[in-house]
Amino acid sequence: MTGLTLGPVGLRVRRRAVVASLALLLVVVGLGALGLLTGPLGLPVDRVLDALVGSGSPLDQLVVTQRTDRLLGALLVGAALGAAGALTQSITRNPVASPDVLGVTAGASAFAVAASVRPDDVQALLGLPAQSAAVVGTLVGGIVTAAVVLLLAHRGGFDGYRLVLVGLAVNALALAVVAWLLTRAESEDAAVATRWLVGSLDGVDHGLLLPFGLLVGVCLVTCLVLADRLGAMRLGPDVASTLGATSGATVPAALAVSVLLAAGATAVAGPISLVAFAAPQVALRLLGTAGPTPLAGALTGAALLLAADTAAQALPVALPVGIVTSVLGAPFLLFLVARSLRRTRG
Amino acid sequence: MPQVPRARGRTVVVLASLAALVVAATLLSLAVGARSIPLPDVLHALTGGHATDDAVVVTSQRLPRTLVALGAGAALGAAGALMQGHVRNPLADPGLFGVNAGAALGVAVLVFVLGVDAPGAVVAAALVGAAAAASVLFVLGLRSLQGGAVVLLAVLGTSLAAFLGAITSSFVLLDRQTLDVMRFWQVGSVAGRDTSAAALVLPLVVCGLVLALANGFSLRSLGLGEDVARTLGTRVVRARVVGIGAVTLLAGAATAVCGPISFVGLVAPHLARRLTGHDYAALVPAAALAGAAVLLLADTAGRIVAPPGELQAGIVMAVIGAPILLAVARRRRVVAL
Repeated sequence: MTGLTLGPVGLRVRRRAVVASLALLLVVVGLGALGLLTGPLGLPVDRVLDALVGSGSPLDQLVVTQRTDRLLGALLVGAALGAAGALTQSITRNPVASPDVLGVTAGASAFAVAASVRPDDVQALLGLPAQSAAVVGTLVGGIVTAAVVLLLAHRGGFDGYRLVLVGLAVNALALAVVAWLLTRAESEDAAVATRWLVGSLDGVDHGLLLPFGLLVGVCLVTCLVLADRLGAMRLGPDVASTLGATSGATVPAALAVSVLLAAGATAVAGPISLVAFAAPQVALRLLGTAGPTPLAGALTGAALLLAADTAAQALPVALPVGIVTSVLGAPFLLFLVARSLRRTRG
Repeated sequence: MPQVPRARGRTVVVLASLAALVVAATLLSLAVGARSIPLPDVLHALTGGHATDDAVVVTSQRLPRTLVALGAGAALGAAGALMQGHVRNPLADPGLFGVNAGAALGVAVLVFVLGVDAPGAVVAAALVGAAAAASVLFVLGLRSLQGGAVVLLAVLGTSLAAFLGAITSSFVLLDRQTLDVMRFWQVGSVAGRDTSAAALVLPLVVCGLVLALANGFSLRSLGLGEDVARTLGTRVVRARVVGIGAVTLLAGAATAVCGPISFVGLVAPHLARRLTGHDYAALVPAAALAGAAVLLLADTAGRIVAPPGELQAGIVMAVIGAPILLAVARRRRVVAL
């Protein structure tokens, strides 16, 4: 470990963390360039570059805009999910807890499916035009469901176990609502909703990228502020209070940030599963940090989702990225749970 | 093992009253619906009276779904009790923990990828899927026995269910027609199901229930810990294997016919445990009876709560079951069984 001093600011630097972060950045840049320069249309590199600086033909520009939207979407959604997962894992001290356990994704899904199956009702409820009603509904659904879970789980503080179990119950209920809505839908609406429910970067809305990017930025800065206290929380409530880290607001603030990030990501790309759980755990192993840290989780999440999306596009049948993340993430989840079970046994 | 006579008498009373509840729920299920039919007419129709409109409704529409609910409810209730006993987790349920999702994935692969939909093959695929999921859960769940990692296993089970569901829906995405079949099947319902498949799985359910009842006696000693059980002469490995087999048969058969239904296997053992205590020899049959009654009542309630349509039994079970799961979760400590 080496130190870095810049005037009054001192920063601890771990070589392994720096090397791993740089490697992740390299992966992101490489995959990003690959995504921008290649695609089914086979645009030559010089025309892509022309379009990027705004001098290509309108058609080229359209294609390249789609590619940049997809790339930015993958990076932002991956970063949001990774950071959100690291926050919930730090608070619950449970390696398999992701914002999904707070009911964010299931609640967001229920509202999103309602918006696509019964657009009139949702528009009337929110008083918004169709396009924004779906997005706002998803966001609101995720946040409201998480609030319900947190209220039900709060009993003189947040016990990690109770939080997870209450989340499971609320999740099950929300998923039943989704299944019921799907049986009530027209065939075409059901197809659209089912595709959305897997999580996909195919149709990332250009207009959403800027507000979502701002949200991710603000949340990541908040994570930076909370980082030290979260680190203390990971040692358990007793040690944390000895270290003076339970200043009341840490847990609610971290939970709020986590919920906002996950709900926002779901509104942009649908419920992409297992990235929020896997990214912080991968980051922890790559960077060798003491626990799942939000910023490392964000970087890893962005790299993982970009890689998964690249893989999804390279498949012979175009599958939504959510399927790739579940197929790759599930064995990792099983492995982690098996290991945690063995550790608690000893 | 010597029995205390009074306990046995109590068990008989409990089982008899649960059986009476099942009979009452059955009659209710035959009588209640979009068209209410008085009980005497129901009995008349069942005993082969004149072919009035009411009689046709009872015999051709309500009787099949009532029988399916009876069988599936008993199967899921017993399977839930066995899972809770083996992995000693109060939240274990074949639906929540992914066994039903495994069966559903098996069916989806067979029907939508291989294009086979013969009832026998569907049942076999459901059993293979259920067996795989149940084995994963048992192997990991038994590891957690000494650690009290109740919640970790619950997270694993529900993640397994979500993961298997995601794979299932990826098959569905590729084809509109399969989606239209799957979205109705995936809700879990006892109405409008294939009666030939139901007849086919009946022997499996009976077989699974017999295994489950026998396994209940082994769970008595297994509940004291594997070492003690071994000293008492229980063959631990065989008992575990029988447990996995029974859960597979019961949950797989129920899912093959009804689609994945959650919460019956959670609610029924918790209700039964109130009456029988922790003696699994009595708890398993009590949970089977309670499961049949609960699923029948859920299906009946679903017919009348949202007219003119119906709520599928799987949805009603989630609405009933989630608050019960919440109640278990909000207790001060989640105690391993």
